[in-house]
Amino acid sequence: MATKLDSPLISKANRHVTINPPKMCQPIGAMYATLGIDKAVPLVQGSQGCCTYVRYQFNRHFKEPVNIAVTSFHEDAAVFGGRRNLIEGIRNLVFRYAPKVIGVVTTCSSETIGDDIEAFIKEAYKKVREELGDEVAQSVFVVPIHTPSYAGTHVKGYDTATVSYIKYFAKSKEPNQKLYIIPGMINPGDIEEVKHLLSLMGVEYSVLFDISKTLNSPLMPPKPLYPEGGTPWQELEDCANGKAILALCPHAGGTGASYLESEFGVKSILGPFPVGVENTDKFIENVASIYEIEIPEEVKVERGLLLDAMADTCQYTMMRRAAVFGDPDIVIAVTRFLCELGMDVKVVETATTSPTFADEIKKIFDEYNIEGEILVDSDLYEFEYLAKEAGVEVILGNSKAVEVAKSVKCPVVRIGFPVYDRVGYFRYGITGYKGSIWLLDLIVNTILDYSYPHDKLHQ
Amino acid sequence: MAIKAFLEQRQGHIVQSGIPQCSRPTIPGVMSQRACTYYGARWVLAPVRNSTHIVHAPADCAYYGQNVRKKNYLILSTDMNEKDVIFGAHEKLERCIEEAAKIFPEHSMIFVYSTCTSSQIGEEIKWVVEKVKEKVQKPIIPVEVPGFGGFSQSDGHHIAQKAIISYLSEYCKKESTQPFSVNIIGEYNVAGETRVIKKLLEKIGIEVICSYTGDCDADLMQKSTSAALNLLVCKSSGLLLTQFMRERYSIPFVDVSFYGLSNTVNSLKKISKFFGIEHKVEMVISEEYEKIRDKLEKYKKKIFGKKAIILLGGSRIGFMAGAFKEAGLEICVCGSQFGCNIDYEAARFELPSALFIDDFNCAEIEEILLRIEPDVFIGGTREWYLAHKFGVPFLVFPQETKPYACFEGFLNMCEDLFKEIHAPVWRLI
Repeated sequence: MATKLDSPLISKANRHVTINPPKMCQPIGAMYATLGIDKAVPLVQGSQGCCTYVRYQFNRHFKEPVNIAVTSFHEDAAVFGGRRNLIEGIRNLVFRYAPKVIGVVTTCSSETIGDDIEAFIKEAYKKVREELGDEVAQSVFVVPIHTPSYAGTHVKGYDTATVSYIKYFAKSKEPNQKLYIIPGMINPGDIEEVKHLLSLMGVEYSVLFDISKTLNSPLMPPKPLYPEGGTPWQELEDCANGKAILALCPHAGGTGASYLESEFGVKSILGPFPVGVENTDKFIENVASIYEIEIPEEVKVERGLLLDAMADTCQYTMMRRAAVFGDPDIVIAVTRFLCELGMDVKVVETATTSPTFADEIKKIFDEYNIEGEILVDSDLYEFEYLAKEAGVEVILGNSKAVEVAKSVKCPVVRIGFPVYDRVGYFRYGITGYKGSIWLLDLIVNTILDYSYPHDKLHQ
Repeated sequence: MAIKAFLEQRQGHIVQSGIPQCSRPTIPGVMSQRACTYYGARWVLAPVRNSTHIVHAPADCAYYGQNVRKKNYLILSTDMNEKDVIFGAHEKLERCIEEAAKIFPEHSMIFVYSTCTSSQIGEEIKWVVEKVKEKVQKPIIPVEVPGFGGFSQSDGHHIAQKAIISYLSEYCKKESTQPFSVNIIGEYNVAGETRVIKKLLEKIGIEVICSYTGDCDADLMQKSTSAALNLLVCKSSGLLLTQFMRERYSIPFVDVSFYGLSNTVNSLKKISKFFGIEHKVEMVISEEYEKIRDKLEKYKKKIFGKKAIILLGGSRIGFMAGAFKEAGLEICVCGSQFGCNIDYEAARFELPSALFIDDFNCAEIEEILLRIEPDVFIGGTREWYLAHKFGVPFLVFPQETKPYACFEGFLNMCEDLFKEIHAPVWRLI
């Protein structure tokens, strides 16, 4: 895509400095996955900020408490290594919280000094065994996850975590008929929607890294030490014997799924993230073809409801100029859905480096005859400039989109993670036909709220 | 054996009388509520207007540091990648500074932060800054804040102050002294407090020049040297700066607090005594109090005697403890993530028999929630939803929207306490 820009420095490709980066660190992705495992605690091997900032994001997005521990690097650890911190950290965590799984999430500082995490974990086991006994030591799984931030974003962090966990746990045993799902960094509502579809299909399934309950838990005192839900570690062990594994977001979880296929021969399917008509169709078809089943009537009805909603609102969506940014898989899926709605997608951005993103978007653009800007590994400064140039009428993105929208003078539809300036967005999924209807309503209502006269009756 | 060893580690940090041990390293493996040094520095420096902030680190430190205090700020990053970590990124930083100066010519100064990674690989940001200074023709202030460079964010507050001091000493000279003018130091304008304090001081005829750093930019900093008096609000994060300004520009300072009625009244009296305008103050105080009296009495009746836990950052525990006591709360537990001796002494003065906890963690919060069953919990965002899961009302501080400072702020605070404690949801559980 050729871009005509006033100043060469507006394009991210022409400068070194990054302005308002919309990407987070690898550790947060790894913690996201870890929080979806039953009685698991992420243990951050690094400075306190690496844990505090992340907890703050989770707290504000999900409005939930999260259990994340940190080994508290101070100057001595940063210089001489975090051996003592990790060993003591694991021991204290085991003692205090009795977790089933500890995900040791490394950070920039720990990786830079070259901490030998695997060796430290062995020593920690020894210490736990000495102090708390054999039984305790055997009941806890400590999984190392290497996530230096300078080598990727939160999406990669999630991906790395999935592969680390599957490598650690997966064991070949009796084959089963289950469909395993790696959801990616999506909301509890999204996962619920996927589960709903799979139930309608009558398929036996299991969601790995299932945050749908752990990060959306009820207020029912007395509070349990760990929130109910989350994938039991046995499922992670058993996934090696499943019928198939489906990574909803190929960028976040694809490596885990592919590993399972190459190592254990479990059929892996990567994406697409089921948002909109075509992507959800593909998801349903994939599942139907694995199990060789007919698509049930209820699913077809839901599809019909989505089409009905689209037909009813196309006057508001047709040719509306839109811009999207966020995680690659979500952006690809949402872009396709926007095109299905007849919207004119002007700018599409992801801050994550991806070999496939640009091609995927290009394919969608070609299909729907759209000319838009595709930005990979870019920042919000360039995004804002291009959105303004294109006179975009609605922006889709996380809460960071708000500032951009203010300057572009258009409304925001919040999708992705984190959404901290509104409540409840994590509750409603955008996946499946039903989720897409909700997203469609959200987009149309946002547009109407922003620019439609109050006294119109829309009839 | 392990249990004993663990508890021993925390002994002395949790005390029923006297001052807890503080400013110590955090125990690894606990869910500490502390943050890093970089966090502290961002907290102080982010609101300096008309300035470019470049974080020399992987992009995420910038991402997280973009929103501080519930606001979004423009933030730049050198976005270090693997290659930069291995081979160094001096040149990249240099180019980034030059580009930033070109892209934002309207900004009058540049802050350059180093964090964990850049410090570990030995990036000398000071050297780079010296090198590009001439080319860029703008004040550039290096802020060396590796996240591990201290035990908590408190150390970051100090480094940020030092950054401001280095700017002042290099670029700001004292020209004259303006009568009846003050600077406020250690006031961060989280929910519009600066506006309220300014309004109140204006009533007694005193002008606020610069509020570090709640209402602050390069121009205001230049002017701040001509103030007649400095008002020190947050001792731990502002003391260095006030001392520097006293020595360098001969600006004396007084300790003040605008949280709670008696604190506000005492502070106003202190200030007016300094300027010799005591006669004006009495009238303003009674006028302001009259405005809020009826409503305040109504709320105070409803919150009187409620059991409370306060877990706040450093210097807040002292003056906020006084304010909450004034509102009628009975404070059983008082804790801080990064309090220092002065903070705990101030709080102990207000709360002679409360349980004090330094560097509290999630396990301890859960324990005290179960044992004490408070009527209200006052703390930060990270404890908010935890308290809710126990069915305990929560007042988040720094607050969501309205300022809690001065007279009208105190009313806001009591109103918010009333709203939280008496929300029907707590009866429905």
